[in-house]
Amino acid sequence: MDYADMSKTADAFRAVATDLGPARLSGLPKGAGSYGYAYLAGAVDQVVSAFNERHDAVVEGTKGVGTTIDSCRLAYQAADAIAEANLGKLLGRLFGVGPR
Amino acid sequence: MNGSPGQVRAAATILTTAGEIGMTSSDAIDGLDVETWEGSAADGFRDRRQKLSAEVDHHGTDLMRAGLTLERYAGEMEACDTEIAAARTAVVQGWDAWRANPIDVTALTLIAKSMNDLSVAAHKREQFAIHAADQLYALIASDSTNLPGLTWPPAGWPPAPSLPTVPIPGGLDGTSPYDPLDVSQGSIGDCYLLASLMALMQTDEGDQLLRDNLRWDPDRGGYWVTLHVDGKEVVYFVDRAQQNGALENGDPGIVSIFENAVNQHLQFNDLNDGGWPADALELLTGKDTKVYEDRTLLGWDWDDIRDDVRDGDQLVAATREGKKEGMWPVEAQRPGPDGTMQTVNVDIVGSHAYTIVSVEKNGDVVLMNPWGRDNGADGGGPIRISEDDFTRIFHQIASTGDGK
Repeated sequence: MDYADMSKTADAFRAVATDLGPARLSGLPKGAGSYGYAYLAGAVDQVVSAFNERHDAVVEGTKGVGTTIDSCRLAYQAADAIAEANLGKLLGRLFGVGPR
Repeated sequence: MNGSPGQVRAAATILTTAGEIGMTSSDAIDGLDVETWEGSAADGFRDRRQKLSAEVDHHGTDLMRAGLTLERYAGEMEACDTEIAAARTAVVQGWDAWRANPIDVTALTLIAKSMNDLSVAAHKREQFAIHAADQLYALIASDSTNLPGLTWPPAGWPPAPSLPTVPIPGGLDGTSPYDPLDVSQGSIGDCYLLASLMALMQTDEGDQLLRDNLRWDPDRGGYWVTLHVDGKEVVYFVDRAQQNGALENGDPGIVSIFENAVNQHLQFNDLNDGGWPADALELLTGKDTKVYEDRTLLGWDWDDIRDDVRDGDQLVAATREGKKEGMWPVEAQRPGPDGTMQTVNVDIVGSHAYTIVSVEKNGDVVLMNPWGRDNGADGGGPIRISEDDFTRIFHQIASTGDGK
């Protein structure tokens, strides 16, 4: 397993989350004066609100994948370190050499 | 008039730009991997990545769809404003002419006609706004239960003039049974969809499934229609039926509503250029569909097909290309006026879809043509053909069953 590769991929997910940032809707014209009718203006308002809720969910989800990859990497590294230490102890006991 | 096409277009641009970012991001997520990572955690990661990519893509396409809705509305608004301005000018000209000559009857006629034009254009403008609002509401209709699993084609609809529509009656989601014998395909090439709808309409369970996917909205004068795409619910708002589309007893009905929803989903060209019954059944039911084929040397898997029919599953069969002017002439049996079975010569339509009504013990297959009553090929209603003829003419059956 390539830990550097895992870090790089986790960073890439965070970068995608950043790239998604401008897709959050803002600055849309408001009101019946823009759309002609209050009914349509209300629909636009509701769609913007619902889409932004979705946007926030997918951005958090994207960041979350990066965070989870990092957590996995740290867990693997910790497990490797423990295994390495235990192997050293075992070798030391068997042959009297090894990391101390 | 209130409203500015420029402002509406500005909103549309913000939405489509956001949609493009979403779709680009989805592609980027698809490409992210740790190639050396294996095992259950890696499998979990890849599964999550796939779902996330789909969610981001769905969100992006919805944003695009909303943008295209407003873009289209801006164009409609401009066209109406032009009509309104022309009508107003004509009214002023009429009044001027009348003032100059109070006995000028043509001036009064012009005024009356222009006033009417003005009213029609203003009403049309408002209807376009209502329709655009309903399409926007449809985009978020299923969010509360299925965030954010909506899928929409990003390319929008063809311009309205190319798809004339007719009104549909309200309250068709009531309790009266749907009858496949009432259905007749119009001039749209969507036999695969109509044969699938008819297959569902054959049973109470199928009727209920169609009702469950349909909700009349009296406030808006239309139906909220749920289709199923890759396991996700997709909701469309339908307040009109396609002109020259499917009918029931000569009028727009339940099949017209689903036809319009699928038209919105696939867009007209894709709806009209044929399709596979398996895809239509999945779109309508949200369930996986089993496809049986006439296998070389092995033939049809009749035991499984009969099991599906016996279990009340819906089956739709597709024909090969017709040998004689696109048709397959066959001898068939159908109930005569006195109820006894009579032998008749009919044409089975090539490259067409038929609803399977039953598969008899001797192998005969009873079919229904979505062309409906009094059609020129078989006259409509159930017809029974031999297993040999079925095997010669048909090459595929889509079933909602599992063959068990």
